[in-house]
Amino acid sequence: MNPSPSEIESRVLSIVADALDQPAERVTLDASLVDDLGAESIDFLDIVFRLESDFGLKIPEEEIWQGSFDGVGDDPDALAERLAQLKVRRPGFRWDRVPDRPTRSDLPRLITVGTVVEYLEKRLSGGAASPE
Amino acid sequence: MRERRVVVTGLGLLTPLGTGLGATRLALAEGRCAIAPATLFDASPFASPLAGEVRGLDPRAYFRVPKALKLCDRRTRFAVCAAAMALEDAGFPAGPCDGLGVSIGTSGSDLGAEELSAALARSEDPALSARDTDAFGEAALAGLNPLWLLVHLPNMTSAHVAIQREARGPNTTVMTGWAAGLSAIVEGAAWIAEGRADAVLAGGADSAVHPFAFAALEQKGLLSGPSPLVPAEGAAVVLFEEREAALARGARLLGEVGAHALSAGTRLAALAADATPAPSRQLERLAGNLLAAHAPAALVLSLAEGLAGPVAAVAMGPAGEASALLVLPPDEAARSAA
Amino acid sequence: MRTRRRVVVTGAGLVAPGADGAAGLWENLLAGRSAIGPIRRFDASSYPTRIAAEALAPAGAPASVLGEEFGGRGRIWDFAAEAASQALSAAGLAPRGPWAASAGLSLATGMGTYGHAEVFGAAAAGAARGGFDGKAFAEELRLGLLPHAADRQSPGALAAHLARAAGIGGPLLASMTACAGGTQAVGDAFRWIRRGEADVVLAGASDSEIYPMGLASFCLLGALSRRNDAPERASRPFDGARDGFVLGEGAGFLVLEEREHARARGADVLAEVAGFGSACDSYRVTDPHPEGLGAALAMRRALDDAGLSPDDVDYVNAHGTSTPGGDRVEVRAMKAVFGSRLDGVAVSSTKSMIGHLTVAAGAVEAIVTALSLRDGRVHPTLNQELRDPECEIDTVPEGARRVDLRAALSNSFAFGGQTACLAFVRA
Repeated sequence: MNPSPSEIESRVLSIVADALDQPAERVTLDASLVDDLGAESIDFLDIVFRLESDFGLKIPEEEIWQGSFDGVGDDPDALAERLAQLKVRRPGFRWDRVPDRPTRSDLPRLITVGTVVEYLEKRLSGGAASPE
Repeated sequence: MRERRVVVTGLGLLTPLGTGLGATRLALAEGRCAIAPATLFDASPFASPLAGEVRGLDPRAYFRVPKALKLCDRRTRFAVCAAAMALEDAGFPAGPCDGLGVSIGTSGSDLGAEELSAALARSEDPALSARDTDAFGEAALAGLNPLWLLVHLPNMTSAHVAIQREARGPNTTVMTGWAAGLSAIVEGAAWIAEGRADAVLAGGADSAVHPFAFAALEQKGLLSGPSPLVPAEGAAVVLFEEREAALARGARLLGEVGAHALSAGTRLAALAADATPAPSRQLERLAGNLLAAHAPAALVLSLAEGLAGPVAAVAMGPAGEASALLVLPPDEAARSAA
Repeated sequence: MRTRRRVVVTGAGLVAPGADGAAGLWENLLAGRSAIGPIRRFDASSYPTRIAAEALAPAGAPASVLGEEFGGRGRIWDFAAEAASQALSAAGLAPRGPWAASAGLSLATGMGTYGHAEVFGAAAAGAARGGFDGKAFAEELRLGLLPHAADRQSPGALAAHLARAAGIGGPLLASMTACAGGTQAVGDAFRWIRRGEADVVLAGASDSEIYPMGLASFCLLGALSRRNDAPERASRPFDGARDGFVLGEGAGFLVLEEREHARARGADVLAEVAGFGSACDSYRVTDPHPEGLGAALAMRRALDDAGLSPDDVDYVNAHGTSTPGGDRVEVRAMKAVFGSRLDGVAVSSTKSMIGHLTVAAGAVEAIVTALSLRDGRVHPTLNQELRDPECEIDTVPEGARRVDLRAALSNSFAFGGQTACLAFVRA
């Protein structure tokens, strides 16, 4: 029996709060892991590990962080276009902090708690089969 | 080339007798013994299950960035806490400091037994992994927390002290066995004398209360017999400062660094002969052997007493490693003349 | 005014991937030969990274010069005994000779010093019943403990062993600043001689992480290159297509000596150690400071310590691990220190050919830097194919180059943020 969306959300919030040592009220869906919650590279590894343990899944490294940038590659025009689409979908995010023409190294800053929740909902609702 | 003078201005201490200098001194004065069968793990299989454990420490209170706690094993937590205590004791100004160095000594690592076991428990064939290091590596790959290496790399002990304090001076983790902490102190003072740092957090942090340490000690025969060694844990950190700068900021001087030795031999013997010994044996009787942190702890206790004359801290270990440091009473005459 | 004591390198020995001794390595580096290949020591086929630079096993019994029992304690001890023996021989110093009683030993080694093998059996026992069974773990560990456990756990024990074998009775230090360790061990030896603590110091480092657990732990951190199909092209420091480092292993030892002492006995001198600098980023645990604050501090301190200005430096033997972030930060730090002078400085990374020797890297790279000064030649950085606009430096891409080398720096930076830099000058 798969967990409900609200259960997924609450478990993710709890894992992120714990891994980043942040109080619950700061861990909102629109919070950027890097800019709002202080994540550094190893925290991403830690969060993935905890999600894998908690949800009993294997999460391929890049998959969860690609999130909204699947198939976009390094082309700055394609990135900017995808970004514009994201802005419409996520009005609550602090877009003022993101360069208009981001490069790949800016992308980790765009990852929010919501990105993680969406990914897990997709996986657990029998979405993309998980490659071992 | 004249070298600079080095003084002690702050002390930090964590032992099984108490989480702080005051608590430890009180317990010593009352003759309270903190040695008991280990509780951090079930040590009953060993020749002696006795240990000296630090209890009641709330590390969060000492961490400027508490998120780092998940990356800190016991001895690293002890080091950060003792360093914070020393800085507070010295009234050292807060904020990033390019001239503040960190030199900590430690020995061994518990290698995160529980995490390794958890990784195996997730793997397909734990029993195979037991016999076959190839299979173990694969099990680790599949199920070990990626942060494992970072938690157990010994240099992280000094790194975390520096990160918490934004200290950008020279930084090292010394690992010369049981002499490591005192050697780290000797080197830390040398950095100031040489002009490489203006202040240094120097000391020892160790935790031998884990199966790997017990097993190795037992293999050497140290846990057997009528008075077995009691593995213990803790941290002792001093803040050293360049003397003129310390006086200028109105710091209280606890002692001045004198001669030292970084190996066994005549020099070490001479240092020990001419001075009051730091209370190493008394500490061991009541708290156990803090290994790399032991001689530093004894030194801190002497300094806390107040020095009437020179004090020598000496550390020696089973592999022949040794170090010694002479500390002199602070020269008050210069201050009153200034 | 008392003249400052000066420190020279009078001997070097090493065990490194693809090479038998310092001369062999130097020849390989100048020829641009990579020692990186598929891992052969164990079956790494299920790992994301399956390549490394494995070192040749020391030929014959190790420590023939030192003559003391070093075996049974793992590769790190074997490598160290071999490299230290070579260094002493090269320096013309016989173990337990008159030089030894007051001489020092400064060593850095890695985690592999901890004998892991028995921990695994114990961990399996601890996992047997689901949940962690600490007592089962402890029991299994006791029963399965291999010999010399205390030695294998202690860099200090290796240091003491080496000292005893060589007859060294002066200052002794074993340290562990991870990937900066080797540079630091040499730096501490330099400091001791300059201060008058000793006239001769045997300084070096030894490490090996090329075993299942070591490889797994670096793979888990995402630090390693995955260019498994083309191992010799995987380590490409500063190149636009770099994707992580490659593990190497080995040991490097140098004999550092007070200059007049060396002259008096007619010793050969490779180069002079002029300065040492070290610092700490104090930023984050693995992410280096974005401006390379710790790296720049270490380089500036080494230059100041040596009484050199950036204009005096002709070569930097970079840390250059081939990680996307690390290399970029090292370049920023070099720019901060050298400014426009950087255009005239040759920068090469030994790791492009022998991989990252982790704790031992700094010691082996110190030897390489000293040889560069001795010969007036610098080795290339391999695999410079794709421009990275953030790493626009002269990485000696074309092959070994003759340079009028007056002074050189050797950098090493560690996880945790520790940074170290040695400044060498021509002897």
